[in-house]
Amino acid sequence: MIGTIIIYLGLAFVFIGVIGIYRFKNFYTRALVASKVDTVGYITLIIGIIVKSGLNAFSLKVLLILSISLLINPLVTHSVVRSAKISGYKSGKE
Amino acid sequence: MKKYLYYFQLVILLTTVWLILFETFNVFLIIIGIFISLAIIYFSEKYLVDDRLYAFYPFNVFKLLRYAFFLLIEIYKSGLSIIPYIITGKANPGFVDIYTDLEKNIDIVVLANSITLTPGTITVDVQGHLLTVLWINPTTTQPTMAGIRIKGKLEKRIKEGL
Repeated sequence: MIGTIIIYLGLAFVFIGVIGIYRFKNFYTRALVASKVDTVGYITLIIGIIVKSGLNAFSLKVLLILSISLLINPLVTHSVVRSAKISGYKSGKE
Repeated sequence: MKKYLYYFQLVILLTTVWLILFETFNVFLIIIGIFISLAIIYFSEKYLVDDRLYAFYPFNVFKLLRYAFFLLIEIYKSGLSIIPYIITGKANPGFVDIYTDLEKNIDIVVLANSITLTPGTITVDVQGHLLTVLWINPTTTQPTMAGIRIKGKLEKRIKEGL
């Protein structure tokens, strides 16, 4: 029950992030808002899954996936934004 | 003494991952896991880093867990503070330069990745002690003031040790 509520909360965070992607037109703003989906929304979803399934081998495996993806996620965001800056995208007002 | 403790926690960590991937827990698997962890440490020191792992990545599991918990709270805080920008649709992102006074390379890497992981800021470039950060709402472009707003608490936590 509690796990289901936490999963819905995570989905709400993902929903807000996706609205942000459609609302902004500038590339940099989109990159900043999209990182909300794959940090806050993702962590909340995974915590919900762990609470729902209880403490067993499955939830430990999910925890392992969470820790690995939290290590890789900033590298991906960094390389995308850095390549955009090098190719000369302009940052401007919305 | 501290060095042996470091290798002990590295073996414990690798064996735990090995057991999680097997999904079963018994004595035979634990012994095999310990031997394979020792082999992994030996070969990665010999061929991959060419030095002692202790000199490159000196970490403490408990301090690392404490830092991860603190970072989780920071992620949620800045995740909530970004919602008004999405609702109003007004944002004016820009690049700011900030300086860090951390010494070791591994500490600077952890700081840059933590800044990227919190929504609203992305580290674009690192040159020595100078970090170029993309910020969703740059209230100031002055390096010291922007530095306090972006990395103040994170840097203080990293200085206490990882």
